Amino acid sequence: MRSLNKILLSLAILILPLGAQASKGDPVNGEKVYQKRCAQCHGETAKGDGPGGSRGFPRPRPFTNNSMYKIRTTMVGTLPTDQDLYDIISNGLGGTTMPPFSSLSSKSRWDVVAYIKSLNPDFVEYAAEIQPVPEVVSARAPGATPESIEEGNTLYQENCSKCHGVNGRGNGDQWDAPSMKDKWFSLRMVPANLATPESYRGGFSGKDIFRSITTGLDGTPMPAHADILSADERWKITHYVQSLHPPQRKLRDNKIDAMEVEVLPVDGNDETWGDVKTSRFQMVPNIVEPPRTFWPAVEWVNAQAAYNETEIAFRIQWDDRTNSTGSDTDTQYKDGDSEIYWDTNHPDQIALQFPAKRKDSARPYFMLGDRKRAVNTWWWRADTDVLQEINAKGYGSFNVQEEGDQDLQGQVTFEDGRYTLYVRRTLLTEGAGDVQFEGGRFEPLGFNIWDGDRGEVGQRRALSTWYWVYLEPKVPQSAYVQPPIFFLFTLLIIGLVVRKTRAKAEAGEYDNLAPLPEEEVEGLLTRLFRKADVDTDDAETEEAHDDHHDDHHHGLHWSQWPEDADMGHATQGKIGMWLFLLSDCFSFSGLLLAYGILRAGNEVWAVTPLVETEVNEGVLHRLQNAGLDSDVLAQAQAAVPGAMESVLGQYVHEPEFGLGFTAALTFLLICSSVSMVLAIGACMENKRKEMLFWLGTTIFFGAFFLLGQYKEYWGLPTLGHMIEPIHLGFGEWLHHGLTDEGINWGETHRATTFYLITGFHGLHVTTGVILLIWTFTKAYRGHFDNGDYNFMEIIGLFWHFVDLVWILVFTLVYLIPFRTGYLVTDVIEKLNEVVPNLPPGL
Amino acid sequence: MGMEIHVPRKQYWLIFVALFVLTVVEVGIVFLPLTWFELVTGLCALALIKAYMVAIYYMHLGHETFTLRTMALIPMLIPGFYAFVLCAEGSARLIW
Repeated sequence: MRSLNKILLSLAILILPLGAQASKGDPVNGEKVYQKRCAQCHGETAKGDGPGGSRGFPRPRPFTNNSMYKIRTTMVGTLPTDQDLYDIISNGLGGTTMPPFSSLSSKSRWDVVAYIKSLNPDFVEYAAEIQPVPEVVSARAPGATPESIEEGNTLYQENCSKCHGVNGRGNGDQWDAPSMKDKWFSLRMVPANLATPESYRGGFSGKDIFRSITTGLDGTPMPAHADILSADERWKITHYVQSLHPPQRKLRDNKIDAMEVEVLPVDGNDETWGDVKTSRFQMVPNIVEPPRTFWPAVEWVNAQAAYNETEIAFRIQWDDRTNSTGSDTDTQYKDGDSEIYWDTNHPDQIALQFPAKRKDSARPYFMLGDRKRAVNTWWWRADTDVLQEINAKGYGSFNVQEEGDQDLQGQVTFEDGRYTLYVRRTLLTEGAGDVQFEGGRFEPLGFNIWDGDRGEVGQRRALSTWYWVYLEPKVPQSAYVQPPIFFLFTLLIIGLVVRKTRAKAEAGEYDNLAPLPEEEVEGLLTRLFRKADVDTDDAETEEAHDDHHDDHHHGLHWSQWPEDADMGHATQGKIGMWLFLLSDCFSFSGLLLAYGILRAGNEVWAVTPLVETEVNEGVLHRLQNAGLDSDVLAQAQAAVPGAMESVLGQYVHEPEFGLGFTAALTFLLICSSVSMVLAIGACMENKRKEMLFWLGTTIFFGAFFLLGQYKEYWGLPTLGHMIEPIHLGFGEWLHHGLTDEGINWGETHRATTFYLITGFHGLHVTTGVILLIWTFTKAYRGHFDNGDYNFMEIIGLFWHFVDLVWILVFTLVYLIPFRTGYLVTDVIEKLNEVVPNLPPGL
Repeated sequence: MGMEIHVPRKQYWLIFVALFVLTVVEVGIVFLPLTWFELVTGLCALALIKAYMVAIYYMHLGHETFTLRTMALIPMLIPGFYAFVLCAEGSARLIW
């Protein structure tokens, strides 16, 4: 028992630090962390004036006297709780330059909270008022229904559409009113576009939206609605707002699936588009080539494609509050200009880009091509309303195709803050510089979008990396017909063979085959079934045997069988289990191999905050040790954030898998392994109580592992709506799973392989626990009391195999991908492009 | 029953301790400043040692006959071989 205590103690030590959080941080250490991580933007004196601050839109927050906080669980006009500050540091603010700092240790984050609070004496003076609104923190989100969304729509139109627009695109009548200003810097701002949930500052889960509606965003025109609307009404608005954007699991794509259709849609409003899959791509600002810009006005683009035998059509949609038709394309902005422009006189534009040559295995540079490889762009601008093909070899090196080579047909429409580009072309063309399409092929594709009245012209624009358009071939009719035909044909042949053999047997053709000698048959049976000294005809003794034990009624006990030359004392059951485990091992190998191949074929697997920190540190380390002149070094260091952004920025920040927690789960399985082997040992020595104890322990650990895995995926449920959530000292962490953090099945290779492999393993653990419970009931009823441990050993083999596989899964899925060093090289390469005099590759 | 029975409890507990220590080491070396190759080699080696211990001592493969041991272990080389070849091939396609 003492050893059990030790196990439980070690377990507790492993798990507890993950949940328990200190309520008070150390402001002295907090200042150190702040100066290292936060001062670049928020400023050394925390006035929101750091050197990187002017690159942010919105600008970073000052923390000094009279500071205001947008995202709070507390009532409007009050300061946020410690937990609010901690959450913002941990999760970042969507759509802004504030990243999630979940890579900092929990202690460091709390220290920063303490430091930030120490900068504003109001935190002490009004400490009593800093209380979270109870319904915001305790309520569990009610599920949306068609009715609640419909009622939410009515309430939304009454209360929200004035600013956020009738369809939530941030373009309500008041969107450009003089009152649309933040109270820190008196800078102009815009109501959120509710169709792009990633830019919701405080997160886009139901609870997040409900909180923002309830407590408002301090310092902005967004008021609190706690006194205006009932909680029920606020939930309905939340449901409506959620219905405006795609479900959480489907936020981001990497390809357009072009659907094969009989008749192509004829324009952007054609009903056929309703059946075609929509893909969503994120846009980033050009921060690579001067003159650069630091925030894209257009953040997302929706894309669809359909094709038939001869033509392909695209529908591209993006949100822009205004239809700007200014014709000024000459203005040259200063590079790195941090001014936020409004109402400028440039045209809105879009350019789809494809590689101009299809046979080349390397794609052109993603920013409109390079000197060696041209891109074929499909370019539309709002002032002339002309859609034309322009080939480019890098920005400025443009070549408008000859009149006869212009193959595009289509138009752009603008309605309620949303542009729709409809364009069609023949799949194949004569033009030498044209992209060519073919069924079953992937063709690279990228986007460039300019918002004319937001100072976007020339290089200042939103752009994307290379994505793909895939022409999905239609499944031919024969695919549904051929397999059944082959199946029936095979059946027919088997039937014929059987019939013929029977006919032969009936005709007596096999009668004169010599029978095997009797002793040979006996020997064969013995070898096959181990029935030494058994009189198979002895039916009378059957009943007597039954009284003893199941395993007995075919004769001798297995342990008395003569030893086999090859297999020793291993029973058929055990050999069978080993064979099953082998086959199971190959199943796991298949999954792990698929994972390994995908992993090896993806340059970037996951950009987690930790990866980002590591890459940043790695790059700075290499710069410092390269023996550079001080001015080159300074220049290079200044360019690091930009290069980081262009390498990593196109990837959504994914959360970590939680190494500490999984390590604790691993430990549970190790514990269950030793208890299993001890149970078998006790059974061998016929110690009933000990056997039952260790079996029970194994079941407990196995079940606890499953509970842990449930928590890892989905978070544990709170106990009903009415009961205050039970945290057991773990805080919200206990109810928080990877799915809440945005790791969703089908969204990325990383997520899908993760759930597939750990889920398949979890299925094995579940089976194992069921088998163990069966074994336990057998043991309890005395089936093993005569020291017959064969059955238990076979179940034990399965259980240990589950543990063995977990060792590999833990290593391959959790541990190895934890670091991503080679991204450092990519960032250095990017630096070489931007900083002159930097030795290539360092 | 027919066989002499001795249950090596001490050995079981030793293996348990070894598995625990190796797991802690695994989690620990992730944070060491190693190159990617060193890290992957180290982690794989540790995982194989752990898996080997479970198979030989907890699954009693050490007590089985040569035939059964070979039957269970040799085929495992095949996925390992595939893993090497296919992952290498996958990363070679990264020229895109």
